[in-house]
Amino acid sequence: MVLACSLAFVFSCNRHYSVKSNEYKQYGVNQELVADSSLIKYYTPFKAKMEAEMNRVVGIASDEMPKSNDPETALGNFYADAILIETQKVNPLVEFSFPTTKGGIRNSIQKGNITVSHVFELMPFDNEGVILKLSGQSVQKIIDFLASSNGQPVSGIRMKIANQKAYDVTIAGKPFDINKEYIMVTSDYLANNGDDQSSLANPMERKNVGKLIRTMLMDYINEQTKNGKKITPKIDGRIIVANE
Amino acid sequence: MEELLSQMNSRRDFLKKTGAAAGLFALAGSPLAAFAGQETVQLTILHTNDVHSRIEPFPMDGSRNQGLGGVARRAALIKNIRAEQKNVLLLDAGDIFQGTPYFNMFGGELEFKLMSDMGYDAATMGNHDFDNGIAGFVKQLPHAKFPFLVSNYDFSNTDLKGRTQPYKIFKKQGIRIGVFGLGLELKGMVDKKNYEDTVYQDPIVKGNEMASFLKNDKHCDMVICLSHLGYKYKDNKVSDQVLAKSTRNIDLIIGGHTHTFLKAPETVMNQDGKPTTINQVGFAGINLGRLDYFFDRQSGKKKMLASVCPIGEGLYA
Repeated sequence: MVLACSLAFVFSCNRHYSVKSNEYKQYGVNQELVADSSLIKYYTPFKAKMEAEMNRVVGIASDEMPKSNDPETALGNFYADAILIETQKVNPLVEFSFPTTKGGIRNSIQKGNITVSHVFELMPFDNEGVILKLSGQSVQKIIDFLASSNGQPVSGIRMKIANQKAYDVTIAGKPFDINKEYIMVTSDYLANNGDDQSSLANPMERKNVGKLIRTMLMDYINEQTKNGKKITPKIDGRIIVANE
Repeated sequence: MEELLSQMNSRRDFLKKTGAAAGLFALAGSPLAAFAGQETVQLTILHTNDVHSRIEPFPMDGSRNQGLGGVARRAALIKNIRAEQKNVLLLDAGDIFQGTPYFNMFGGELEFKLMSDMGYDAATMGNHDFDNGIAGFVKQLPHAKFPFLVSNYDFSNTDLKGRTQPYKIFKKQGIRIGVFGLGLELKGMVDKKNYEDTVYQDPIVKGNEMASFLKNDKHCDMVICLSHLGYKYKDNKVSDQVLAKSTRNIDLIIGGHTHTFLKAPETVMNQDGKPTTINQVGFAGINLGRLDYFFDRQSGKKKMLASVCPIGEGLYA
């Protein structure tokens, strides 16, 4: 060892370092740590401003819209209608929406003021709207999924379900035709096979709406408010499960 | 939760070079060591990834990560480590943006300002750092007092041209540490309107180029890659694992993107059969990773035998 080092010294005209050893430690950043108050002081004004924004009222719900597993829900209808209407402003050829599964709707909307924070709670994820052109066969798969999963939030599509099979299906007011192509809007999450939506996996065309789903919901509510309208829960029989 | 708690203060040596500890301690303690110009330098690398605008700790709402994280605690922790250690590098592997309303409200201004305050030395760009487009990122850059290191995105035809660096060399007590950054394929991950005419280049080709350049041309003693490629995938998509195996000259990959909670760094043998260390510490600033490297000054290719030195045991004090 000593000899090696002496040699090293002799030839060390060129400074050179090599790793002798190393070790690792991971700190959990949790309640046991003291916080640096200067940083808290620094971000407090930002927090105040953010909270003011989050508490900003964007609309009014004329009644409660609870999250539920019913085949058709007022909350799901509001959500899917809003996304369809906002998407049609970008592309009027879009015929129906399936923007989320029931599980993707994260919170109920209470009667009264709807704040920015409420919209975030309804849709906390940063998923984008995606417009897909689908074959009739792919749309049939969506229809099958809607029927087998006891209904999902949709707009522009109507159906009856018996024994987990759909019948009397219409899209944009016309009977569903498996030989036709359809243009629909969903979220990038579902389009990317989230929640195992294989029906959306092979679109003939795919385009982004260019907006987050949450932004579209916000835009829809804002517009309703601007026009002096409240958000009104609506069940219109778009998905009816026949008594067996 | 249990897993997270068990990670606290877990100390591990991750380069298994055993059997020489006794010899080394003997040498370090002997007067001959001083005669031989023996010198040990400790480098402390602190790192985060995918902090996702988590300024405050997660709210106490019964969720999995409630009460964890928070910049003020991280800042205090870093300050304490800096008070003890002379040579600290503080690095982030991207996805600084997006995840709390702070980002929606202020576009990343607060994230960059707070990171600057904590003294971050460098970061790379994650896919979510494009969420407000190139323009949104450029707008916040003046708030970042640290460089963004990106080697495999060609920004020549965008407003980010000249605003990032492919690499940076840090010098700590004579040690040269070359740091560069690699980002993931943007197509399919980020909306084209947000990355515009950014050209993605093969991370393995670029990584090899950069690492060889830093080690051989710039004579860096250590090469670190800040990667937002992701830890590992089921298919053969390029990841930190693939990168480590397919390259030479990278000593350490500080990863991100997959939000992977590694309990300890992983060592993968590279193309030269030398160890490349990979680490990633989850997301949201829940953890801070710390790697300590002990360097010996030597000449040429002569290698010192290695041992593990617990932190705080003053080998060279």
